[in-house]
Amino acid sequence: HHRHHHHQSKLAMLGRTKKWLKMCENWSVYYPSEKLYRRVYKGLPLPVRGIVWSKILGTQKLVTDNPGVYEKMKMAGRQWCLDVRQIDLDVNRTFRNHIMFRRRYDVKQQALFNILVAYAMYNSDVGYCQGMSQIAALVLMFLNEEDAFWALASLINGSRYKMHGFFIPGFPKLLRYQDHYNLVLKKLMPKVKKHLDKHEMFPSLYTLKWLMQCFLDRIPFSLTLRFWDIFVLEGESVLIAMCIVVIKLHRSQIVKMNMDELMQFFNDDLCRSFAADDDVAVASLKNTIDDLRRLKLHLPPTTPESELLERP
Amino acid sequence: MSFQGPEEYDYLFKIVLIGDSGVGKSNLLSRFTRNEFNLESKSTIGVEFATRSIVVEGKKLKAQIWDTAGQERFRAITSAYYRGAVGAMLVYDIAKHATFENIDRWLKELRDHADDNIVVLLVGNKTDLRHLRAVMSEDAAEYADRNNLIFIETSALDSTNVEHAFQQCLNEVYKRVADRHFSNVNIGQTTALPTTNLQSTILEKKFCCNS
Repeated sequence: HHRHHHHQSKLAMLGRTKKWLKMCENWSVYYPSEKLYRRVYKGLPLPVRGIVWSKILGTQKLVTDNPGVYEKMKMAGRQWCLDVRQIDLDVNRTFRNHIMFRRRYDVKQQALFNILVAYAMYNSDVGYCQGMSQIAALVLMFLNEEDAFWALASLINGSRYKMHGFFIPGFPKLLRYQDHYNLVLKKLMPKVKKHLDKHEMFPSLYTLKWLMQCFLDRIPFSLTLRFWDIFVLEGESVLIAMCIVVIKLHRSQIVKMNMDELMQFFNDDLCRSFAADDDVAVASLKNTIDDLRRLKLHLPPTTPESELLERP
Repeated sequence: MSFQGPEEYDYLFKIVLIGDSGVGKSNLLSRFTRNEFNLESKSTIGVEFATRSIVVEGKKLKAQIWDTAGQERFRAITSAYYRGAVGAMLVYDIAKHATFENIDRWLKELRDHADDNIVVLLVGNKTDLRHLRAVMSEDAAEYADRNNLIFIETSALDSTNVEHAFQQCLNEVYKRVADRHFSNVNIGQTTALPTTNLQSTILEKKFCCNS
């Protein structure tokens, strides 16, 4: 029976992969479309995740529009990047439990190092900031080195994601998002907020990796991938919604915890035992995104110019 | 009535772990609070804390230890957490001289943001890397002497001196509290909650709240 079930889900996966490949071949017909959006929320099949992310992030266009730029940045970075030491330290601590990054100085670790030093040259306002290695490693799991570099550039500089403000000195976007999250939490779950405040578990203590790393290392990896499918499609407007979903799905536990337990919960427990399975969490995310959009709370007030990259 | 609740303690002491990225702050913390060492540990971004209680002279001291990001850019966020700290562990890597050279800047960070009477330990970590040693114990000891710091070398990996380092820090804090060195914190205040945001980190608790 179990084998039969396994066989069936494998077939379903193959079917979905085929559908996606068909959409990728006729990308301009399907993107953007209701059907594509619906299918992204169902989760991208592993074999097409890289292709689809790359298409939405506009990686190919960036590669064609900037011939030789990556190579140049990489060479410059190896010579001049002031953050090489920090980058090397962090490559050594990024996704070491993942097969691709397990071996020190192996191919993928080298690629990760290259991307980060190159990016530090490409965008000197950001340079290298801790948190970026996790994101670069994630895209490297699905894309080749040069594509991954431009995917990172798209996430940081692209108008849909604008992660630039999360990483520049002073972290203006982080502070703005934390404030906004606090306001939304107060509106939607005042009791939970009151409990968290009482135990001095303020957003600054637990939302940093949620926002700067888009939940990498803070929720189960399978759910992180599902969230990233949606984030790549929708952009920054789903970040606050996901923060709210994590709290909403655990609120009965949260209100029973003291400060120590809360810290342990946010840092360790959540990525090991999330209260809902991935489909339930994504359904909740969909509803929350809709709710917040209706209430016009999905984004903090407009991004100040100073948080954007002036010229790459 | 039970006095075994996790919230029961006589004093709550806030300790901060600071120092360059990669010197082993997070592993010192996990070694002391959970007796764990993680070779695949991730970089700390922002701040995190963990707690452990120990008994000194019959008093139960709860240490709330704050671990901070080492990358310079994060000081904008982390220095706010020095407020109310009564102890600090200034950590460097004995195998990387640059991390020792930066101790001066970390010390200045503390002087700028922390209480004047804060107990400061200079901690040379990673003594298990004997063959790679780049900072001589004598040099570090002399530096500590000059700057009025307590000096100790540790290895979070093989546990050497970790327990001792934190014990020493907490003992010294306790001594200063007993001598009323921390004039600007409310000793003797009874409160049910641990506090971080502290004009009052040293909380003396008489009995348990969940009785």
